[in-house]
Amino acid sequence: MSRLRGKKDLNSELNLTPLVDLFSTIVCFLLIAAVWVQVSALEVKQSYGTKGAPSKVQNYELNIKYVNANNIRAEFKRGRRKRVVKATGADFDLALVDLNAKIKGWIEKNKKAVIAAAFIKPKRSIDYGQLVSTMDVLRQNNLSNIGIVKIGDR
Amino acid sequence: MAVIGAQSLDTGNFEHHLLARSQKKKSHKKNIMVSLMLTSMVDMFSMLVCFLLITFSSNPEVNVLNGVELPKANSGVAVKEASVLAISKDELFLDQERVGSIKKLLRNPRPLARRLSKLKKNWKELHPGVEFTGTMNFQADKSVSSITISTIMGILTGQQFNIIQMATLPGGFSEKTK
Repeated sequence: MSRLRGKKDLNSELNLTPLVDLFSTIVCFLLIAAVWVQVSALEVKQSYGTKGAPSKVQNYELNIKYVNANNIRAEFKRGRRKRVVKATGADFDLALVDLNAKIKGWIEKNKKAVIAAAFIKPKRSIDYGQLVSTMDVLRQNNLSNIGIVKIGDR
Repeated sequence: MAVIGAQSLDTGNFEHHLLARSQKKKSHKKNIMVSLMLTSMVDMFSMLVCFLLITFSSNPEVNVLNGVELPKANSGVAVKEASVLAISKDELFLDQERVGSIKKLLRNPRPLARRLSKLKKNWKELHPGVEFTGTMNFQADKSVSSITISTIMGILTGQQFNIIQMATLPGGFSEKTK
């Protein structure tokens, strides 16, 4: 005790002011730079026809046609060979589920075949939201070359 | 007199020391000792900084036109910077500038074609020697008819804008089914 009495009290206080300053600046910067609505994009390449590939892989073309809001027709085409698949459901979303399953089934069955391009033919009763949902289904089946047919073109 | 950071360690002695010293010096004045507790504020700032750093995105911010309800898709990729063609329920905008009403443009697409041609010319002037990529960011209300969309896309293709990036919001097909 007598030894300690002679020593000065040590100021072991932590200065938080610069830390608070730094935090305030970072928070302000991040709040300003923050992107609140995360918008992504589905890419459409408006080209027609499949490329004549010199490889052994069989290149198919997939044509999507809307019969009505709950009936979608998918046509797998290679030259003159054509395979038509119908996807139906109680509403549009269920028809899309059916379409997804049928495309998956076709890909599973035809392992050597590759869908080189997919084309969607729009219809007056189908809105843009439904068109994007269809494209989303195709994308989820690894079809990257998607085009939207202009009425009167094909 | 404010003692900042007085909460750290055992600061009781130091506060007493400060108080005693100020009483000695200015005994005639009333001493007010305000101690600000910074612990909770630093905690809050740390959490806020962590949250904002996690959600921070380096992707360019895309301005969505007022009144345009974008469709949802799950397989969307990051948006690249390009000109924006926006379609609301009845009007069309190119880079935030109104081009005209949809009905009129479907009947006479010349004003849109002219604007697109000008855009392409400006791009070529800005990028001499580089091949025109023809990328366009496309924003449209989800209730617009798909026929209208395909017709507008036809006009874009006619002006060599072949890569169209359709803006979407996260969510959609797989969320419903899984």
